[in-house]
Amino acid sequence: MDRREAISLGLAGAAVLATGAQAQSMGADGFLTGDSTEFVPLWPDTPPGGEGISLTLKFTDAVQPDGYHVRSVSQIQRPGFFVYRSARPNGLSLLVIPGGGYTSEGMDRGGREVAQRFAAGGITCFVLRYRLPGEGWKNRSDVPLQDAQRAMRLIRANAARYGINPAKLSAIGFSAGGHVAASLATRHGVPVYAAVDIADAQSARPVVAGLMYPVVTMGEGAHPSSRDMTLGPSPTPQAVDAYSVERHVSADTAPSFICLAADDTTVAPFPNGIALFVAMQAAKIPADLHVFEAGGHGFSIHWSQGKPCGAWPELFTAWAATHGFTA
Amino acid sequence: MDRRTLLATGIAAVLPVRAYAVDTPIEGDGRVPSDPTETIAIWPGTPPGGEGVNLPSWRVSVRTPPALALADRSIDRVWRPQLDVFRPDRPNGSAMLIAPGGGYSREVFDLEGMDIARHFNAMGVTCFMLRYRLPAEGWARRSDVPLQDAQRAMRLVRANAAKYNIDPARIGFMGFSAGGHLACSIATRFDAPVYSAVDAVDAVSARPDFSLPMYPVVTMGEGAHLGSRDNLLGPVAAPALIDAYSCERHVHANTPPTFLCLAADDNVVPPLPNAVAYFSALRRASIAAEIHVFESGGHGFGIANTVGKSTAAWPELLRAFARAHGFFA
Repeated sequence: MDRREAISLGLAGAAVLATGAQAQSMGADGFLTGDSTEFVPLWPDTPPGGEGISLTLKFTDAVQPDGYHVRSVSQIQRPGFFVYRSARPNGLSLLVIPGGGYTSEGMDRGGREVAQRFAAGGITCFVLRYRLPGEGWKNRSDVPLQDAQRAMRLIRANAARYGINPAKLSAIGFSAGGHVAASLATRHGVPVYAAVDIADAQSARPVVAGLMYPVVTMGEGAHPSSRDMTLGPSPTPQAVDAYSVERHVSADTAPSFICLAADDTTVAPFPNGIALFVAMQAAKIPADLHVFEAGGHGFSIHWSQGKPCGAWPELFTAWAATHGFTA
Repeated sequence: MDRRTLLATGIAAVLPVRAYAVDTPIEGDGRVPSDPTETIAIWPGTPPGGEGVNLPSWRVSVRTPPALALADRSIDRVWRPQLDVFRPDRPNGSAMLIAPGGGYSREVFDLEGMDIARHFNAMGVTCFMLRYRLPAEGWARRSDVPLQDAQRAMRLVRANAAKYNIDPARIGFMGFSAGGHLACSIATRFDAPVYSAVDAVDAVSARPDFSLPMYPVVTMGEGAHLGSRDNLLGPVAAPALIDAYSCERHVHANTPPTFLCLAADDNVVPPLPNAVAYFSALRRASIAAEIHVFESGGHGFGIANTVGKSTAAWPELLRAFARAHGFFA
């Protein structure tokens, strides 16, 4: 049985291969050493708009030439978040939102490795597993934001359990997950689902938003798969407008850190991350913009090592501290 | 004693101990003991267009902003442009020319000159601080005067690379504010014939191998920094003149790799029509380019005004960019 087959058996089980021998040793259940096994479902029952939907979780694993596992997941019926606790928690916390063009979601890229990086610095991290908009849900376009808002609220409602300060919760998203995070930054207060319990009285506003090579626009220059999954075929101009984040910056938008590479050929810098920065400048929303010369799309942590763009986590935390995201 | 203390002490040695809230001219040449003694004259005789110019030597002013331990000198009446040479203890073969800013009416050469040179000296980079002529001090063809000096300075440094232990293919040009306009000008117009050759040095290329505009003045059109524009172009500039000196309109395929850095809250030189527009032009021309727009930092932060702020990251970001291109290594 090769790794792919092993993984295709599914990760539904919660057992972890906790040998601690190697960061990249994978168990037969698809878990890697260091993976969180603390999974918190978002919704007590069927997620909003999920009546009649039955999906079987699907995993893939692309092993890099250097042996690094790059897993992704789709067919998400049961959204939630994985908790990455810090050995030395400082009260700060971060919702981490991976990308995947809204057709799948990275587990390692933009997910686990990001959570581990920031947890090492004392920040409790929650890696979001959100529903994908093209998998049959009603109100497909709002599905990722429903999950992201609910995650922010659940985390805040259970702050004591996680040992965090609910006033110090931020969010960071990558690629399509950057579209989710940017939507959270701009539309944290927009009602996209009916409250299900007392947790929904909490605010979903991040203290700051990290937007890593984000998908932003659904208009000209849009990332095709993210747009098609979000809006479906032949979207109306109104739908394009409603989900183009650069058109929804307001006085209540969260301060944002925008970071990407100039040579990103997947999500074009100018109509996406840079356009959002320009919109934030116009609305006087605090924003930090870093466009590295090289890095391509999806550099996350692993693909930025030893490169100038590898400076981004320090730039993010130094900037975030100026907005009160500091212990 | 660190560098800043030394500078402050140096100033104190030649000046009465007091704080200058505004620019105050200093008697004499304004030198302090820590200033380099090795200098290079840009022109062997009268600079181009200098016939009839009669400046009464240069004037150095100083102020000591309360927030800074650093003395903050500036120069105007630049009748004799020159390079001040800053040699590192352990040269790595890379070199950088540094043009301070000051709205083309003066040059703030501690904050955006000597302090920067010493910082990059510590990374092994040989630095040459350019005291360029100011366009509104009586020179013929005023608009080309800073670029004449910058081109000639690049050629002199490159022609004498062996003397300075540097690689003639690893010479950058950094400029701040109006000096950033000069950096963008030489990055785009390094071979524009803005003066008649005076000697063999003028056969050498003036193209920087990398370009480092810091919170640069870029455009002379809408959104221009008015002081820089009026000083460079004169008070009533024709559209053709505005076009010719708006650097974002002159990027071409041979413009060097570029690192831009500024602050989003810069209300002196607005980011969008200047650095961001230039970055956009660079990318349209497929030039390797990087831009860092820090949310907060204002205008004129240099290095001294970044202590304890997120802008403090820029010299290391620049070093990483340079190393990725084989410079600073």
